[in-house]
Amino acid sequence: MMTLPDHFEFICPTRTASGLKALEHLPGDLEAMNARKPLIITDKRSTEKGLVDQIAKAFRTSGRTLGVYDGAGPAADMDAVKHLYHLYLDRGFDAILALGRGATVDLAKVVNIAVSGRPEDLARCQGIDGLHHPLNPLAVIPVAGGTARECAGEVAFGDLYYRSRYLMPDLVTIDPRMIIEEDPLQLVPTAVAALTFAVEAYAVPQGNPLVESYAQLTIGFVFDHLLDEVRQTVAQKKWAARLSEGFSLKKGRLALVNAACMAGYVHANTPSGLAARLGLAIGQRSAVDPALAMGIVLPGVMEEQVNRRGWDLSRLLRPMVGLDRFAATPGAQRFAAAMAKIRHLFNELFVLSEAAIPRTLEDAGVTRDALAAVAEAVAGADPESARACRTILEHAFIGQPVAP
Amino acid sequence: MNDFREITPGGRPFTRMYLNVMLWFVGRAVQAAARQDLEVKREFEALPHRFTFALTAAPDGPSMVVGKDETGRVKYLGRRPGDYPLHVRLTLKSMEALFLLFTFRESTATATARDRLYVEGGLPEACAVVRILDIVQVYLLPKPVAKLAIKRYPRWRLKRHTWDRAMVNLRAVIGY
Repeated sequence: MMTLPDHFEFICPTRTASGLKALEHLPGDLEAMNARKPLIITDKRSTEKGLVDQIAKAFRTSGRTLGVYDGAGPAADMDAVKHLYHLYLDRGFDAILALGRGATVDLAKVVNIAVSGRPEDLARCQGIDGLHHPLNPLAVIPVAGGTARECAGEVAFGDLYYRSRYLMPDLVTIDPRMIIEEDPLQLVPTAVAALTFAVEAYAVPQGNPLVESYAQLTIGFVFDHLLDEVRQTVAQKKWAARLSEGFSLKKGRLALVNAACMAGYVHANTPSGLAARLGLAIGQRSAVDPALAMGIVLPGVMEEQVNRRGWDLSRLLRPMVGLDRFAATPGAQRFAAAMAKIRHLFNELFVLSEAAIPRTLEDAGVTRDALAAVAEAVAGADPESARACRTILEHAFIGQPVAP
Repeated sequence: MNDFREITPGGRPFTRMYLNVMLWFVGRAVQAAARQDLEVKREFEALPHRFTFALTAAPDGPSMVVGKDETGRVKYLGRRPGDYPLHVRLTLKSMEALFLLFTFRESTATATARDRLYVEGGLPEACAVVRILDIVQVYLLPKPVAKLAIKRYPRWRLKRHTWDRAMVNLRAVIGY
């Protein structure tokens, strides 16, 4: 059970609209922020899939002109930032709509830093809380898949890194029409990243009740929908069965995209956790998706921290299994049961994806030699941290729980 | 520059036309119901002298204006809210939201819950307007459709369902 901490803070300046015809709220919501000429930043794929047309339809009768830039790529590109900076100012845009995921949203945020102040701000405002003024209106329209950082106040753009509450979007519009048909396995890294941010939000010294509220919902959505979503789409079914499942599929995906957005709000209010940092470091040194690596090391990280610091994180189980199962599990078993649930989730995904989604770092093709380098990179010069990281990675390599 | 273009989304002429017709008819039906139906009459009597309200879609979507004249008679005043001093203005965030309402896929209560409707003016008066619109929708629509458009379908006496309904529709058509 969580007690009220002596002090906590929470900030979420984002207005979230999710569900039927949510896109149609955008013109009015932008108007409320005095934004009249938005620039859509997206990638070619979104244009080809007709997502830009959907936004244009939502702006019919608004009398607005929209700019569309669909040249965002998967990697950080300073030339694109310069190009967009001039476009934005020369053509009189006053808001940005970021349509897409990961790198596209990061590009939009970096451009917003430049156009809201001066181009020199890109170099001057780097780091944590380097931004000291609100930026121009930014709306994010998520699509299926992503890094779960889209709605957070964080940008990693090549060598540039920013973390500030001013980078959180003003509007997030989650519309079923934008959750386009995807390979279901593409959703897994997003959901796992969201789960990691949410679970790690519990691992702070005194806890934060507001953060945990968002984290609970995120964990609940992931556990309620991820496996069903993958199961339904992977299963070979007759067309009639697929048709009848269409609606629930969309609901499941919508829930996972909502979970990713909420995980972003959680991430913006918590320090970057050890599992997230280990996952990124593993991703940089191997071919495994950083989000999946985060998820694989997550139970080990939580076990190690609970063992070392003596925290009671038994409440983590509740959003995973619901109140009845939570109540049926003795208090002393709850934390272990929660970690077993996360491992079980990966085992199931491993089976459903026919081994495309790894259960352990060994499955992911990470070599034992790489583990020491990852531990060193994350822990730095602190020997105790380095030892903890090595323990976690060794256990995650074979999928073994970290014993007390 | 191949990656950039500017687009000006067009209008929705058919939707606008449909909504204009619907609002015209509903406006006249409110006027008719105020003469035919006791409950609507009482609601209007409780509203201030020369009370006027508008139902509209932002930013310049179809609208209807209904108000009481100096003698207290309720009249449909047309579709230009800018021409009258309004006591209550119910605005749907977009024409699409108004279309959802008038294709009976969403009730007024649901539209409010989904943050599609905002009100300028006094809340008690706005609630009275919503109650009046609900009664008018019951008069105009067959039961299965009306059930989608309002929160709870009322239990009325037979006379109200038959004679009053016929009179409200007739008065709405002839504009009396």
